[in-house]
Formats: sequence, structure tokens, C-alpha cells
Amino acid sequence: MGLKLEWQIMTNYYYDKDDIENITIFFEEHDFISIDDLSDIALSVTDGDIVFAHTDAEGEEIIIQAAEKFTKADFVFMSREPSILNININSLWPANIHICKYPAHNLNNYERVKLFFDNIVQRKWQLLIPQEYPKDLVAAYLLLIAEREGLVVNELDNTGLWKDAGKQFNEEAKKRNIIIEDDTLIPSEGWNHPNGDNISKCVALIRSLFEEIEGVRKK
Amino acid sequence: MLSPFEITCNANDMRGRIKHRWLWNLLLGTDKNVILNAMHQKNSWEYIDKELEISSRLNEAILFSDEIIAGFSPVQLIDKLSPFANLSKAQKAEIKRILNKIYLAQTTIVSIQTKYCEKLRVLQKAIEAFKKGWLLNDCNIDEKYETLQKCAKDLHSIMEGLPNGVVIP
Repeated sequence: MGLKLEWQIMTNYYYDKDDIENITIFFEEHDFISIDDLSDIALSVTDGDIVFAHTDAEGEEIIIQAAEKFTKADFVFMSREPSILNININSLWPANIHICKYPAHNLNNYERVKLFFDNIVQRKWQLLIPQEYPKDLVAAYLLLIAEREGLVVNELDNTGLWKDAGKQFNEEAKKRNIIIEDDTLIPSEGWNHPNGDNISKCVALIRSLFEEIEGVRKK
Repeated sequence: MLSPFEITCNANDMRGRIKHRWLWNLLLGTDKNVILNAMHQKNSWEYIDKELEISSRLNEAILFSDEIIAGFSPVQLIDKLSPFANLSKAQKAEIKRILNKIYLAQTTIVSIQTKYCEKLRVLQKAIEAFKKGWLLNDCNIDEKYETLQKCAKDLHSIMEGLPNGVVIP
């Protein structure tokens, strides 16, 4: 059973036996509801929900029982090697049980939590979880802003920055079906270092893309 | 303020801890009746302080007030983005200077910081009154907690205006 697409009707829960701060904050920021006592799980969860759990062996048994009862809910163990691995073989697990790639104990910074989420719920979280961002495009944009104010920086002309930034612009625009009206500014093979009037035009164009991305994220 | 990729920064982590965990989930999420019950059960101030993470988060909230402007600034990206590694220190410093000027001029970050500091001071006073009431076993502790919650909500509202990552001007 895969993670379902009816995300908007789900209630999302998490349980962390150690109340690890970064994990807790991450879940709370994304409107997950904390389950304080795992024994209440059967009262809280219904089919369609998703539960992330960092438990001890006893808790794992409770989760397994809940997964068997709510076959249309998904349960994710936040540990690489749950104790249950030692007493059950994988094939006997309910199909709606998942194990995340990163053990909760090693989720000691925010970056790791995001990676973990990317792996588990990639499809539905792609607009919510910060992805790897187009660094060359951001760098080029910041440089263009400075150049618009009169700074001249030619040292990066032969580093591939401008070509890569142009390609990243096109990729980001394509992802969002944005049509570039002036394609001479952003040719498909990437930019050369914009100069003169093109600096302001490029800044405006990139900014409009960034605003579009921001708007998509806020929706 | 534009932060299209929600580029990670320490200030954003602090924002999350203060706004979501402390203000929203702990202070606003704890009903006054829970507070009343805790007092009736003669719990110590240390207990309630720990449960609501009052001292620790208040200290962090105070530290955050000094982090807000620089913490979300695009200036930090100049030292992080690899293309800039090829530039001289002087060039990087000049780009930072220009970006900082634009960042401060084009965003509301300074105004938010000012309001944040004001609301935090008010919350701090409400916490002091709440603590005093708790230590005196004040029968109106629920009212003091409600005042504290109102102040927490005001601060939370101000924090809604903060970006979710490094600002791109």
C-alpha cells in the first residue's frame, strides 16, 4: 500500500517517545497533531490518516495492532531498525506500515528531518518541504541586483554560472508552466552575462518567477 | 517578504521554535483550567515553568530579537553559495553592502523587529505577573494566565509577518 493522494482529507499525527525537539517542531509546523499517549491511538486514528511514530518496542506492537485495524491509514516508524524487525519478518507486516530511511535519533538537525520527509511523502510534500534550491539562479539574481546598483563583476563570466543559472531558470519556469514572453533574455541553452538594460529586465523576470514560486508555496 | 525556496537559516529554526512550539502549542494551547488545576494540585513554579518552557523559551525569544534582521538577510548567502567563492573579499563585501541596503529598504523586517520587541516586552511583564501570582497562590491565576495568553497571541501575530527562510530581495 502506498501513501495515498487524498492528503487534504487526512488527519496527520505524530508520536515521539523522546519528544525530540526538532522533530516535534517540524511536525507541529506542518499541522500534525501530537499523540501524547500511544494507548489512545485507536481513539484518534481513522482510515485515511497518517501517523509518524518514534516508539519503543511496546509502542511498536501498539502501532502494528493499529495498522491491522485501520488498513487504510498509513503508519511510519521513525527508526531504521524497529525492535519489531527482530520478531517479525517483513512480509508479515501490514502493508500500511513504513519505515523511514533516517532514524529519529540521528535527526539532530532540521535538514535531516526534511530529508526524511522528502523520502517518505515526497509526492504530497513537494510544495511544502523546502527542496534543494537552484543555487546558481539565486547567486546570479543576487549578483544582478548588485550590478543594477552599479557594481561590475566580470570574474564569474567564464565559470559557467550564467549558463547554469539560465538553465535553472528555464527548468523552474517549465515546472510551473510559466511562458517566458521574451525568450531572448533567457535562451534555452542558458545565459551569457546580462549587461546594460538587460540587467534590469533579467532581475524583473527572475523576480516574477520567484514571486510565482512563493505564491505556489503559500497556496 | 520574498523567500521563494525557504532557504534554511538558524533564524527560521528559532522562529519555528518560538512561534509554533512555545507561543502556539504551549502557551496558547494550554487551557486556563489546566493552569488552575495545576495550582490546586500545589505544583511548584519550577514545574509549570518546565511544562510551558517559560524561562528557556523566553530567553530564546529575547535572543531572537537580535537575530531577526541579520538572521533572514540574503547577505549570508554570499558566503554560502559556491559561485561566490571565486570572488575576492573586497568584491564580496561590496555585494553584501549593496544587498543589505536593498534588503533593509525593500522589506518590512526592521518594522517587524521593532514590533516584535515591543510585544515581547509586554509578554515578559505578563509572565512576571503570572509568576508572582503563582508564587502567592493567587486565586485569580486564571485571569493572569489569560492576560499572558493575550500577549502571547499578539506576539504570535507579529511573527506571522516573518519569512520562512532567507529573504530574497
